[in-house]
Amino acid sequence: MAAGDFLIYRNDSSTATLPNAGSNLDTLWDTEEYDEGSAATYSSGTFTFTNTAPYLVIYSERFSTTDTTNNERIEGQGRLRINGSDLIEGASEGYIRKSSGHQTMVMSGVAIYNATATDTLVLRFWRGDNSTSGTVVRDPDFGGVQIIQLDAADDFARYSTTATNTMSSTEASITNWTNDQEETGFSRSSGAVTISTAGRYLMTVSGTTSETGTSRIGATVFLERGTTEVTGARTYSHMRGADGNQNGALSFAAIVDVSASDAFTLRTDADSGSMTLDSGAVWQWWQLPSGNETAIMEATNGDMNTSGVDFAWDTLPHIDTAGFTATAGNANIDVDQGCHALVFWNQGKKVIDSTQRGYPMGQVAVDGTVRNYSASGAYHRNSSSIGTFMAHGGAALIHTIPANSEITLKNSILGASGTLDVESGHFSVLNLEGLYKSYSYDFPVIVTDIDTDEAITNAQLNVVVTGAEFEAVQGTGKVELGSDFDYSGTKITQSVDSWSDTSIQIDITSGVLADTQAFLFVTSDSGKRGVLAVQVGLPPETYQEAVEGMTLAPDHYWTFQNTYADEIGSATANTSSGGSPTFATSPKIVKGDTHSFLLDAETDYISPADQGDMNTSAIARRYIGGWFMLDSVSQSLAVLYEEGAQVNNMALLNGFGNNAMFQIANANDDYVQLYFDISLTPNRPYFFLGKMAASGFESGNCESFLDGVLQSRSNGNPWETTQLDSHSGNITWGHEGTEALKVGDDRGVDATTIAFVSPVSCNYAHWFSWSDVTLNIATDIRQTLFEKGAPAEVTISEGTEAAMQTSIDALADTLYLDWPCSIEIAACTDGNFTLSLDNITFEDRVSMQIRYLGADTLTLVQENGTVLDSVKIGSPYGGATTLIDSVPVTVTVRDINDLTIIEDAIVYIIADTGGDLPVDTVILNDTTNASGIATANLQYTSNQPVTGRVRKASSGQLYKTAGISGTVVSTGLELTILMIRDN
Amino acid sequence: MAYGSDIDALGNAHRYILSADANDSVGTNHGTNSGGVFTGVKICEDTTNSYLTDGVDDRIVLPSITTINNSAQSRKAVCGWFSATGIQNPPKNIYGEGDAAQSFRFILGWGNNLVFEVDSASFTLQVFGDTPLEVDRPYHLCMVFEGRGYGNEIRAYLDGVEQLNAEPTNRQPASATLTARSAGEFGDPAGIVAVGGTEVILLAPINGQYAQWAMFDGTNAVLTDTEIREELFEKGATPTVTITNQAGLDALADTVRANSPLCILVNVAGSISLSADNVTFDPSASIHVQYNGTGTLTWTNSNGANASIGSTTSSGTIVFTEDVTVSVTCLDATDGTPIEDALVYVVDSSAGVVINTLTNPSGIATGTFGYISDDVISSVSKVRKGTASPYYKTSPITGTIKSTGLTTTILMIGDE
Repeated sequence: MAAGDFLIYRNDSSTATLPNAGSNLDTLWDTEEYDEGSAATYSSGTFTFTNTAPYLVIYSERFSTTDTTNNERIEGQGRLRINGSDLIEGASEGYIRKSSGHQTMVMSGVAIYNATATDTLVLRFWRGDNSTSGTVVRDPDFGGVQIIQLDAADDFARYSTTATNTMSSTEASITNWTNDQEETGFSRSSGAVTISTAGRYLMTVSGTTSETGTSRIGATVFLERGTTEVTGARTYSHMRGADGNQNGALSFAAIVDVSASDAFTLRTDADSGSMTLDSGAVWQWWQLPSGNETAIMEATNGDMNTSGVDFAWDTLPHIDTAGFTATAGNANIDVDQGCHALVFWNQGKKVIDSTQRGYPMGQVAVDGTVRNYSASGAYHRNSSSIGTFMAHGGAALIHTIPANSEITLKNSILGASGTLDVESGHFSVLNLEGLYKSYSYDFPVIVTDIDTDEAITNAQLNVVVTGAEFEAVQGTGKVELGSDFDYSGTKITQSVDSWSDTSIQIDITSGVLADTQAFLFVTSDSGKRGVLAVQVGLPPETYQEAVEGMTLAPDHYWTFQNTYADEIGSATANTSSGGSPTFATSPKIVKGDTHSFLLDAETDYISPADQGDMNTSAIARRYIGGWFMLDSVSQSLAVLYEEGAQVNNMALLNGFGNNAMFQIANANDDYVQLYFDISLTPNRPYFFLGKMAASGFESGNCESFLDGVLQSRSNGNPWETTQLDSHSGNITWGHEGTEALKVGDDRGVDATTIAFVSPVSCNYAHWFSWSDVTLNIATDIRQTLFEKGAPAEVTISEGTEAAMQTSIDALADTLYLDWPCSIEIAACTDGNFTLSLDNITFEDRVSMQIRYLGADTLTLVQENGTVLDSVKIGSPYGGATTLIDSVPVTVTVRDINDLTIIEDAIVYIIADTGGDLPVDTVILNDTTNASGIATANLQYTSNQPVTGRVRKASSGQLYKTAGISGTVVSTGLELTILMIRDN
Repeated sequence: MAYGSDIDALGNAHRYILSADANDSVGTNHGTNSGGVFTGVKICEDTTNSYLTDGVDDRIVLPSITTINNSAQSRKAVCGWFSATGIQNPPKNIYGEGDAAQSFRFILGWGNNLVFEVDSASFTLQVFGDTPLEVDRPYHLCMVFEGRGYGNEIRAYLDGVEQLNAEPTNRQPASATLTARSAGEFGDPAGIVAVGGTEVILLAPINGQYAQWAMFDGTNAVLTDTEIREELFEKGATPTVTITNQAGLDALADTVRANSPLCILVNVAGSISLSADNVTFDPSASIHVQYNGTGTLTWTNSNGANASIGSTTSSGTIVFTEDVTVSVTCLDATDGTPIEDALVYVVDSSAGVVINTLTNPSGIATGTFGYISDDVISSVSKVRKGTASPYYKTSPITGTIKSTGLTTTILMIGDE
């Protein structure tokens, strides 16, 4: 029960409908983000204030519609509802123009409320429009409510208007205030409030607006110190009376750095026309207690209509360096110590831009990661009547910010693109630690980073985990890898090398968590715990690490990297041998290898000792396989690998034009042949895996895989008995010439023995054997065993999206030949990214056209003849890949009289309603060439209606403007426009 | 002319019909059957049955003779029809001459993959079949040897298509002759033989079926690609179905024709036009449509039909066409609205009318064109609306009908 206690809830899942006019949506908040102390409680949509005290209440929520059946407008209203009555403080509005690419609206507000203990708070939203088509729903992951208890000892003033104010293009001060509460340090005379004591103050303005007509109106309220606008203290209400949008709201908050005796007024302005600021508008001032740590940045230029960009601020008028570090011109304010902080922002414009429509959104990010319960946004419309003003702003309580973290405002585009310049911007951070708690908050353990970009591999040594509140001494503290975020499920304790309050060095044991997304938990000596999501198995893990880290690790594993050792079992591969088997440094047939094992004479072979889990016991399930490469088409019938001999055996056999075949033979029981779907290309590595399953497993269906793909042809399936008997003939790579090998079904008469030879030549690497398990085809066989090991022809190294695009541009017009993997693409330093492939094609026998090593989303744009096969896009480390076609939009322009082509005509095509692109997105804006053609490419996701025009009015034969209408379909759009001559 | 006569017209030295016995129908080099039966199903023309190896030790042995095996041959060819009812587990001998050192052999193994192999003291040469043999599907096999003094190559054919995947890849024996070797055998070789130089005990194919095998020697053995494809394969292929008119083809609508040597025989003496409604073909079928008439068969693929491999056996001609859509959309040049009831007239380069109709409420008129090659539509093609208000000036229609059809938009100018 103290100032500084707070409660944060957010919406992670609700997509509740914002009902049509006449009904309300009282929102539920499904996830507790943070609860510090005892400021308030929450139950079933209702917050209850714990104490009789002033509170700062902040909220935001986002709503969207997918309806584009008409161009109607949606008016949204948001209110803080106390004990069943709506407050003016914190009132918010939202606006959607459905068929013009503006499907989303954000409502956010800030208020100071003097609560009595047990007062209840509900967030209520409703619609004021009369549109009835489609639905408007909450967007999960954007909404939140934050309630912070303030100290009643701090000076506070509250004023409200007693009558309406007209907001028109004639600037005017609001003067009809009444003093609802005015404590020491504040005095008001008419419209001016004078503050006697210097310092930082939190100021809020809230009000509702209305109009009676149907026109577009944009009006603003801004704060002046004397006669000078306070930068970044500006709010805005937009209305289009059509479709019932005749009510609005405005609210904003800002930290104001006040000199003694500064006098402030609120003034109104509008583009044209007028709207009414309803009676009851509220103006609040709250003096920050002494010792507050604040940083304030301001901006008078910069584009707010950007996506994923941290907005940069021009000036730094105030900073308390005990708490913050910041530099004018940068986007970030850094906290010097771990803390909770209040963040306020405002982006206002007051000079007309050329952009017709826009809807910028702002969210607070910590070290680049958005805190998703913070949001603000506003609709901008530039028409003949309005377009000068627009502003959006918000506030958020950002909790548990690690020391030295960067706080930024990240913009997003919710409508059309185009510049929207900030002429009056504000960004401030207020440290709750310095405000009330003197750094006494009981901080949780925070795990912020590991030095491998959250990617770790099994057995990796000296991994550094950084964060805060680990505590200086390990004591009973520990580091664990876990399977589930909530600390349930499997957990594996890691080996700790060193421990400090902010850094721990560990050696990794991933165990059964290999190849999965996992969570790294740090538990401090006092029992507090923090968590960080990690990827186990991301590069730079080696192929060996990937194999050994499999959930179902093999019984035996021979890497053949200049060693015959069995890395898991004890079956050294060359217990006996014949001829001159060797290790070669070239070719290397698996990614990252240094060697391969080579048989290059018909008498070469190697053989380990008999193994109970391979050849000398009856067994019901087996896998055997690995990587190999033939250097020619073999004429002789050759054994690539075998176990057993004339009675029972399993063998990979080559012949018949490199049409290799895997057989499983049991003299008394059954006989199965498994064929490859292709003949093997010489000097091309392959990954083979053969599977034996007896009748009790998977219906006895024996299978073979080539490059991780199940092969389609077999003869003799299913296996009809419960086991493969002991087949004690030697395990060999190559053929040991002492015994012929039986081929065929002994149960009938269709069998013979063949004196096979060893292949000449064949390279081997990474062979493994499993018994009594069933591997997952997609994850174990294809992703881990094939995709992680496939050698790539070319690699696009990690870099920025732009740098990686440059690298892949160098591959344009390339046909990739038969190979396990054509192009490897590393992760991008920008996170999610897009690469365009220009006429890059692949032979059908390429097994994996693209291997993506990252964990973010890679969008691949197929341009100019590039055709990718989604089945052949590998992403073994969890990244998502999306394929998009780039299709041509071609316009041919001709003279209508004689059909001659028209050069230098200007062709302008923009997106129309009904497609994925925001309306008015420019698709083609070019002049026709000597063939009368103008072209552009469009990244096709769905049919895109377009509109536009073509004109030639500047030189030579002139033509009247002609309209363009059409739809870009999956093959593009090709139009011929016939133009009429003009004089 | 019967298929057997077509073969004999190429000058073969011997022909074994294998329909009822192992006799030589050209000469007197009659074979001796051991274990097999002549009750196999018909697998090619001009036969009623086939020779069936129903045990792995069945064989027909041909008497040793210079025109098959018992001489150093500078040119030789062997061809015939073969089918198996199952995948053969151990390697099998379809037909072979010689032993482990000298041989001329057709081998089947590792999932019914084919090897055409010729061995001598100086070389071992294998040509590999492009596809494994499907069960119960007859194939025509042919292998031609030409020594260094002639073509210096070994050619192998499957259904008259030359197989080029070989080891060594140049398929050159680099030897003047193929040394004399032991007698020819269908099925289980009596002696020890080899595959790729490695001794292998080959067996007879289980339920292998044989018919119309012919042996060529000397000049007549230098068979051309056309002779092998058209005379030896196409004329011997047995159709899966025979039609004589459109009704017969309509009965096949919406079917996928299975893998076979010959899917559809059009048995019509004169010219005929047929339209196939979504009749598609297994990608491995060797002949989609065969026409045995002397005129022209115009075959139109419509509604997804995809016939493309034709065969004629009596000097006739097959023309494949494909229905594609020509679509003209008429819009008002001023506001882009559709124009209904405009008269669209599109004529192809051969003066054929493709569209002559009014646009619908969406401003669209469509027609169908039988596509053979890209066609620039005639300059007389145009659109006008002059009978009911609002009126529009006549606009020309230009364009090329491609394999995907033609879709064009015409912006029309209002008229008073």
